[in-house]
Amino acid sequence: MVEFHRVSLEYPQTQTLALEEINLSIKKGEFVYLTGHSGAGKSSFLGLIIKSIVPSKGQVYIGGESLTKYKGGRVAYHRRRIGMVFQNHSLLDHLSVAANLEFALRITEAPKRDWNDRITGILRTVGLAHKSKVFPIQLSQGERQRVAIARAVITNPMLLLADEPTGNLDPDVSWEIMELLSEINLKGTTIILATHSREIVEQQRRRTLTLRKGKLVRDDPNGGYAL
Amino acid sequence: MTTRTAGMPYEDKTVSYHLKQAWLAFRANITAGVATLSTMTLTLTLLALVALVTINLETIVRGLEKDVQITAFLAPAENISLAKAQGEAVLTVLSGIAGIESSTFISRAEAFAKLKTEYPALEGVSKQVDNPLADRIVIRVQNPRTIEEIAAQVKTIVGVAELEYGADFVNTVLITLETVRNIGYGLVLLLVFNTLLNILNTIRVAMFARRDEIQVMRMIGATRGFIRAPYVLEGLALALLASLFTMAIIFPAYSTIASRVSELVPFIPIIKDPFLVLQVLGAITLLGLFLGLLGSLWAANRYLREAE
Repeated sequence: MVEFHRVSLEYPQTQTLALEEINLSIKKGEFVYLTGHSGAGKSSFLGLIIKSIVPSKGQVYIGGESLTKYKGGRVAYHRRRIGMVFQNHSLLDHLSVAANLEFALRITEAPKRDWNDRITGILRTVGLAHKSKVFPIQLSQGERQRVAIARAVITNPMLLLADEPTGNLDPDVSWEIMELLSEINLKGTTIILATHSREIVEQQRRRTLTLRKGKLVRDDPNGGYAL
Repeated sequence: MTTRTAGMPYEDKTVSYHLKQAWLAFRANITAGVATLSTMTLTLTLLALVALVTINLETIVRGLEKDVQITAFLAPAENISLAKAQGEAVLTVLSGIAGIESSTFISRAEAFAKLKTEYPALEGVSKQVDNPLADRIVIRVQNPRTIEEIAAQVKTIVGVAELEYGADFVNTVLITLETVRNIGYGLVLLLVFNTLLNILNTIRVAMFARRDEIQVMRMIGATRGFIRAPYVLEGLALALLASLFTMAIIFPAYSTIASRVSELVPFIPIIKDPFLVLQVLGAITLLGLFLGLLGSLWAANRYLREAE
């Protein structure tokens, strides 16, 4: 599903080596934690997968295809196969919950006849069916993050990238979000979750990748927190 | 955002969606939009004026050019038959010179008769003095700009004593008109550039105001075309509005001015055909739309490239 072949990433303006010689493979259906301190390279790692940044060296493969040859419109279509969840949820505040989801369906050109069913279905999954008409500002932090997850998976992506999705949440709500992500993973979606939360990594043991100063210093199939 | 119907609660049309987004972008950024609209209207109005003035100048110049001719005065001959023979000989040589449209021999007697017709007061004088005029050949050229060149050749023909042509006057008029026209086009070019920059800024500000939304769109997988669409529509809508304002200003204003000029100086051939004026305004509208499209595409592409 996701393969990194000797991937290095250097930001030339600051001459910072964000990632160095990363080699790894993530299989379809896996749920992987990506851990490391702030600045370790987690966001750069995710950015390479969605091709918002390109590697200085090496190749990133998604679904067996190298991203190097993806240009212009193909990058957009590539991103439609990937759902993204951010720490700050990135919902559009001027749109209702349902309209935020519809926004994703419109952009990915999902058949309009399915929109209603898909919006209703995903809102049920994230437990917010009763809040389809409210605006993000009227929701709690946890609810907003659930809407963000709903928006990320409503397009049925094969891969879900979550960048510190519980960063702004209290432990109980974080746990709810993790359960929701596990549920999505059980339906077959591959998940890469970037976090520096020890609690999350320790409580739900999964394969854990640890980055330190851009290097992959640990790839532990049994998981556990160790920076 | 959505148009809700019983069967498809989230149904919406993509074009109407983009139009609505364009309206939202304009409303959120109304000062820049109005500034662009006024600059564009000013540019298109000036351009329409320059175009109409140029078309009228061309008509006047064409009229002047028709009157451009060379009169070749022939050397005095001893009698009429010799004068005719000399005229024939010169006409034969003239037929071999390129760029001559027509050449007509006019005897001194014919010229004098014509003069007396034009100035009847000369009738009395003509009885007291001999015909002072010379035999002549009137030459019309195909292109007035070649008149000097042709005149130089005519001057060398045996039997031609003197030449007369209004080259200086025609050249001065042509150069003046061309200068006026070029200054007009220069000004318009500057304004066109200014309009493009205005559109560019308006669209950039509009996109910057919605940068979060654009960022989300990019992450979800929106194509550049999808992200650009509302902003390109905004640029086109501004151009269309500016063109309509231009039409509303120029059409009645030109009709009034043309009628007044025709009344005051009837010998100047002012164009009053409303169809021609509408054609000019149609072309200006197309140019406006082109500017709107170019400016908005340029701005949107630049913004998206920088956001990458």
